[in-house]
Amino acid sequence: MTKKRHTDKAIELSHQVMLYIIKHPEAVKDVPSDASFVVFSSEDKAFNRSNEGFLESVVAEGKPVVKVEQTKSKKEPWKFIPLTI
Amino acid sequence: MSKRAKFRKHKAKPRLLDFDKRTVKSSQLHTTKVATRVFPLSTTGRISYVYRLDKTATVVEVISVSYQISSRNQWLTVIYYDSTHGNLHRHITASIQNPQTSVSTTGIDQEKTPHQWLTWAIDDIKDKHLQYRADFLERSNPIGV
Repeated sequence: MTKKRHTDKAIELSHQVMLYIIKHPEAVKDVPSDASFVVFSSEDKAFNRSNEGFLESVVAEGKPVVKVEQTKSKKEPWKFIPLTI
Repeated sequence: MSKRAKFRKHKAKPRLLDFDKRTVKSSQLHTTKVATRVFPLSTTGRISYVYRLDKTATVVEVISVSYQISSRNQWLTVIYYDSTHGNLHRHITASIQNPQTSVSTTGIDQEKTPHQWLTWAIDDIKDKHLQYRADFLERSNPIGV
């Protein structure tokens, strides 16, 4: 996957997550306010593979990180998994 | 009355911060909280959202919505939005060498709530980040990249 495609996909997903967080602030009530969110798609396996390595580099920075997984549930389309707090 | 007694009687009023009255008043600051959400996009790009929420979790101020790129191990802000002073506006960084920003309100509907402004800023960066990045790099001295 090219870097451009990865970035475009990341922006598209982070856009959706951010709109969800604004509408459902309770979904991240236990997440530290300065956490980094790394978003994974429910369908794009190539993007997710590319993102796994990137996730490790974000975790290595030492700040709180939350893995955000897209689900296929309409009620809870995003799952927030704190990796480091 | 002694001088000491005279001064003890008069308690200083809370100093009003330099906010436009349409934004958060100083008396409300202790009932609001600031949320920061950072989305790393790649090793060289990230978007961060910093906004203030009231007790009902409603957005009352856009503190900073920014798109940053990494160059030579430092993060550079290409563009950011804020609604300080009661209006949403964007700050566009001149170049890598010149951190000064130019302020613009082009295309921004001011007749919206802070919640709508935040959503609008999110949409704007999603739609135009490539253009903002390209313009920023074009303004920058290529030798410095």
